[in-house]
Amino acid sequence: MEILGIPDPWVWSAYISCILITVLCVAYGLINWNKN
Amino acid sequence: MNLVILGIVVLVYFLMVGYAGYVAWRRTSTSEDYMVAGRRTHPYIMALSYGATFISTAAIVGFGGMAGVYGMGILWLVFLNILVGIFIAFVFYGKRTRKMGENLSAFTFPEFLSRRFNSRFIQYFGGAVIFLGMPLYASVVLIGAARFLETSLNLNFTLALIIMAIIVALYVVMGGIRGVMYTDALQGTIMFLGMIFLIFSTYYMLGGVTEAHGALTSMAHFLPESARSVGATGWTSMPTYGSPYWWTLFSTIILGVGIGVLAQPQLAVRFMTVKSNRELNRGVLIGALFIFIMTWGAYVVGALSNVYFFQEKGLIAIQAAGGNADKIIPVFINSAMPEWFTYLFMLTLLSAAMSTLSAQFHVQGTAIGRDVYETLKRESGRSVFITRIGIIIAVIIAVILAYILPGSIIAQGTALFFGICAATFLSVYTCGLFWKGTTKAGAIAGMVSGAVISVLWLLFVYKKTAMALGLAKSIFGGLLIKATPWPFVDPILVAVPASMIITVLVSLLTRKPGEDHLKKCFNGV
Repeated sequence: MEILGIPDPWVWSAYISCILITVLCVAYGLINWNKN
Repeated sequence: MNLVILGIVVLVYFLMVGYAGYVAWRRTSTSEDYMVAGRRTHPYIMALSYGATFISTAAIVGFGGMAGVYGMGILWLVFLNILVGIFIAFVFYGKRTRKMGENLSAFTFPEFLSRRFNSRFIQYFGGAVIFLGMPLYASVVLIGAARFLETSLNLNFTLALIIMAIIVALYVVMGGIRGVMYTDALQGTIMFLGMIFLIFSTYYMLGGVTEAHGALTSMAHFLPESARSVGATGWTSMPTYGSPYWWTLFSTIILGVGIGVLAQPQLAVRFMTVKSNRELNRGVLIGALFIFIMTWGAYVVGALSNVYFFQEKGLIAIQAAGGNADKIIPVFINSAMPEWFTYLFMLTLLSAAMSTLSAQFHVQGTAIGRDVYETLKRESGRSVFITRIGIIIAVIIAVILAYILPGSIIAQGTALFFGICAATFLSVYTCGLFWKGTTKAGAIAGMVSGAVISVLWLLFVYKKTAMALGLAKSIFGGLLIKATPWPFVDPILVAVPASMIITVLVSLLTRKPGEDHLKKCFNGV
């Protein structure tokens, strides 16, 4: 299966995982913005 | 490129950095200000400073160029950098380090470990590891920055080296960690903006995300024989499982740099510069976005530069860069980007180098001043003065090393330092934060064994460093262990587990720490 023009699942999953982990961190920061 | 415009841009940049350093100096009066910024840093400054220190020029140009040669498999490093270097570091390590550091009134990373385990030895041993290991890393970064000034402004290399060292030394010596962090935040902002433009314009120029990747995929058969022979299979596919390149990618890059980041003293100390967990929560957002843009951007652009060079010149990136992977990103920017961007990108690289360098000088200064000198002399009250002397010594050593060391040794500087630091500190730092049963003897045994094993592995087994340093050859006539995969396995994979096992075993066999001390350490953690 080719995703975003990348055929190797190990490479496209790396590409997408980078975006997902960043989104997760952004969400974490927003949810806990004022929590101490 | 117009030298006069570039000269003015660099001058304006230096003035801005100088102003940030001046503000920091005005706000610094006590040792707490000088070493942990009075524990009152704004989350934006803290997170960008962490990110800008983390990402040196080598991460952009070096690893970006590597992606240009070997492809996008290196993106796993970005994933680990964010997961481990930001999320786990801030949420799990950072919060505990901040609170425990405050409970123990620790100003430096070795001091933090020393007070956690009630051991002076840990402080001066940790300080010595930093002070002995870091100059090599600092000299690599200094050379990168000086080479930039040399090539872009046509300056003499020695003069460039001295100019860079004096500018960075000035704001670190005067402003302490505030000087470092304020300038880092400014430099981080420049790096962030530069890289965002680079990512968007590269994808736009190549016709979009899928189109650009598709074009790169279809170029797999142009992969050079040198890359293919070590296991690379294409720019959008992983290397052959178990091949030398697979091991290098897996162990050095992914585990070495990705996990090694947790125990970097210059990064860990930043957790102690904020007031509460709220700043760290906000830092997760800012830091992750920063690391994502900087590393993901550099690697994607590095790999995609092959498509550009092929379409424009019929060459792959490494050929266009004259065989030097470090030149792929600069050559790509000079050929593909508008002229005004080349100036901005020059500042991006300069910022990346200076932000890493300033943190290195500061942490070395505190290591020799507060951790080694004051601990051994058992005197206090002159921390700032002694640290300033320490920073000046660190700068002088870095300049001398940068001037005399041959390229083959210097190239290994970053990996070497990350490896030794992770092996020395990671298991003890982790146990100290999360396991009350860790004893003083266990911590000492873990630190010493980690440092010794990693140094021996680097000198006698790990091919890259052992061959460059040459000691293995002169004593054993070659590597101590020749069977694959060991010569390609990063020291961190051997030394950290060994140090962890030793820390736990010795802790289980020795006298437990007192309840009162543990209560003090873990109060509010």
